[in-house]
Amino acid sequence: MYKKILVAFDGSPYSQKALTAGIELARCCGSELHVLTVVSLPEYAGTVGEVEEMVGKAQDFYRKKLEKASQQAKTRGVELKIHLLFGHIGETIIRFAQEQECDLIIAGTRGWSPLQRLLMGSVSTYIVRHAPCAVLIEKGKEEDGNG
Amino acid sequence: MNTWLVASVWLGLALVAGIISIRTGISVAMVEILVGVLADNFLHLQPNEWGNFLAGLGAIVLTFLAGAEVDPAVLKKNLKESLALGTVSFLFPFLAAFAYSYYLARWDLQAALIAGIALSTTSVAIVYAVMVETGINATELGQLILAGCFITDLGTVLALGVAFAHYDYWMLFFILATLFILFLLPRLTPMFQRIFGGKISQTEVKYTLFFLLLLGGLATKAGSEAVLPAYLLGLCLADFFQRERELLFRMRAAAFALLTPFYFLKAGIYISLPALWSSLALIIILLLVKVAAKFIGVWPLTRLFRWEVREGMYTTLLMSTGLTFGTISSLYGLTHRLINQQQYSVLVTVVILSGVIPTLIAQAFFYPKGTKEKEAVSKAIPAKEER
Repeated sequence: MYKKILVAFDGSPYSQKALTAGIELARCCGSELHVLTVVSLPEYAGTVGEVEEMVGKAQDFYRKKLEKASQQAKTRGVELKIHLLFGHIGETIIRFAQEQECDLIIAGTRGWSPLQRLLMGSVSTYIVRHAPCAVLIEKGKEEDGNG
Repeated sequence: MNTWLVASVWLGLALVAGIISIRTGISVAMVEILVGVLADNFLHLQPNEWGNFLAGLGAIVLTFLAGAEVDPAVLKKNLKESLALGTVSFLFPFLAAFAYSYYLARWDLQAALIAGIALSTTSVAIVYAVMVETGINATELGQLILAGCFITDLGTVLALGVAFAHYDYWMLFFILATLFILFLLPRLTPMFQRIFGGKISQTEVKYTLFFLLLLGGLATKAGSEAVLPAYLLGLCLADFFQRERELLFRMRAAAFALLTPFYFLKAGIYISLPALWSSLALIIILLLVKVAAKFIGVWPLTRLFRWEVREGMYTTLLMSTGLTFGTISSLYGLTHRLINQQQYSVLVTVVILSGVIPTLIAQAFFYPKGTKEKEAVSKAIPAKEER
């Protein structure tokens, strides 16, 4: 059904829920499974160091999370391809899905109120609006997302 | 007025800028300038003597860090191409902005020189961030662009250092002292670090600051600018700092917490909003002059290097960006009364716009195709050591 699935993953409980769904779906469909973490860098940076430090910290922080995700998939017999990219989160996810020709994007959502969404923006909303393929949003509050 | 209360106002503004920066993802430098604009125009905040000192030291340390962040291996590897790229990237906008300001906008010679220098810059930081996002920072093309940007910055600080200097005995003494220290430090510093480094007293930070301030002082005596030796000192210690990343982080942390907020807030404070409205046409023209001159200089070179059209456009637009060195040059001009507040407001606004607009156009229309895909698949998680 889905040949290539992309999970947008930021290590939060909500994205963990999306990852679990992605692994199960990939196992059922025999799909190729990609997990993408996007870290936004400071726009119009003042020093190279400012950017470098952020890249270094993100690599340290997400390397462990992504390796853990890879292990989780392995225990379910699914091979996970992990990616860490930098840029505008929504745009980078969409661009990656286009370039990789993914046919499903799975993302988690915090279950924010309309006001919170208006103030903070929402990656899941951006993905739904701009995705070139089907989108699955794993919805739920934080306490639901640990499994 | 109560020193602590004044300090709390400054740091309060820096705190607000920091929070906005984290929330919006816009760099703290850019937000601090904008907060500074509001602080002057609505709170009438003006820098005092110690504020000026901290801002000045902030500019020196910021320039030093820019020099120390240069990767000497990247520079050596691409020396010929990066020299060509960096030289035209500096020279063309410098001449174009100078000529427009002097002959058409009728600024006086010194003000026109400041305009040329401030608008010749390329923001290495903006270029680097965009290249990390597109994944081309690790490619040959990316490293060449980065090396070209370093050369452009060197052109800017050299121009700022020599254009207004007094050519007397102090200048001779400054040149000799600089040459001696630049020769000595790459040899002395690793040994100093081995013996005295890594202690709680942060001796190696004091050592670096000592030489920065000493050369800055001599530069000022010679009528030159303290950022010139700061950048050169950074460059000559870049190899050492590539190995001692922790020391670089500590110096950056100290500068970002205590010094650079004063510098960027001050840079914003001197921008007059009424002056901007009355000079709107000039701002647009100078921005166009800067970008057009970068195109005339850099674009043909990218074709000469046989780069793809898209990559050439992308590179040229990125090299049209500016921020830190543009504001440093403008603020130098204002504090030395080479330009007035209206001219300063125009220049810093053009510098800020040149940081934003070319980046947006490059990202929206000339994003190198497939770069991210290739990088992403071949290097799922980049190695920690990679720049």
